[in-house]
Amino acid sequence: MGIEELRKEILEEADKKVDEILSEARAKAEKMIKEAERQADHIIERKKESVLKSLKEREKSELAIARIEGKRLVYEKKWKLVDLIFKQVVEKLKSYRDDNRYFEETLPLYIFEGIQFLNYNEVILMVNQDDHDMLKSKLKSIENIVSKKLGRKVKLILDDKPIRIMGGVVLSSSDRNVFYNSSFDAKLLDARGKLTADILDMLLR
Amino acid sequence: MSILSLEINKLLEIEKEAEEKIKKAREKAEKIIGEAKKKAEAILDKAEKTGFSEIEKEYSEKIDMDRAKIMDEYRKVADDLYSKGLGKVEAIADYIIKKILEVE
Repeated sequence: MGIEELRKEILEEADKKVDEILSEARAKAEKMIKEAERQADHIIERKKESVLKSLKEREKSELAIARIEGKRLVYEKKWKLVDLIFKQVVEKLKSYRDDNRYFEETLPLYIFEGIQFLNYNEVILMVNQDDHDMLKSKLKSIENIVSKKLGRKVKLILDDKPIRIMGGVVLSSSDRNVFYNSSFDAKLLDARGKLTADILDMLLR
Repeated sequence: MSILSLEINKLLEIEKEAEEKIKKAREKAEKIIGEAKKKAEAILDKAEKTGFSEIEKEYSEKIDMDRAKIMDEYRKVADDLYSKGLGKVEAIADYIIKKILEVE
């Protein structure tokens, strides 16, 4: 083999090696970039999922809060109406005291109710300043009405000291140990507690 | 110098030339891989920094709209309830009075 042939052979081998080296490097480079792109897609997908998850949670929370606030608006309007109703009830009760039925029917009924509860034959009656004199003048007739209703004789004593109630009467045993509150104030409070469900039902009907 | 020595020298030069080619190829290969590594890092860096401000903005606007819609609906229900209820106040007050007074 001559020098030229040897030269050719050596350089061909070298070129072959060069191709190998460069091919390998290009393949490795391509693989590296492809892997980076794959990871990048994964990272972006993960981030997007996280952002969407966070947005969905925020949506759920904010809309739930909106519903709570909305229900509160409805609730406030309902109670505004209930307050209006009871305001009217107070006005009507106040003007009812000018009605004859107040002394002829209502007070005797309240006193009867109170004596039944206290189970005494002698009771003390306490009323407000405005009702005091009128009740004093009608005390005997009310005593008769109540005794007749109870089927036994009762004695009604009107306390000289008026009390601060809207209307109605507070009864006590003669020893002042037991009381029965038949005032408009107590009945109003009782009505508010017992009738609210009915009232709301009537409002929504 | 003898012919043999000349030929040996020539062969040595050829080997040197071949080694030089391979050395340059290796250097080029390193450069190729180095650039690929930088490119890969840049791709990953860009991914890490990716934001979704457009999606967030649109979704936020949707949430605000839905929220407002819910409030409007409840506001309407509350207002309707109130205006209808006003017409019933007197009758309900009379019902309560009847219960309190127990008067026919």
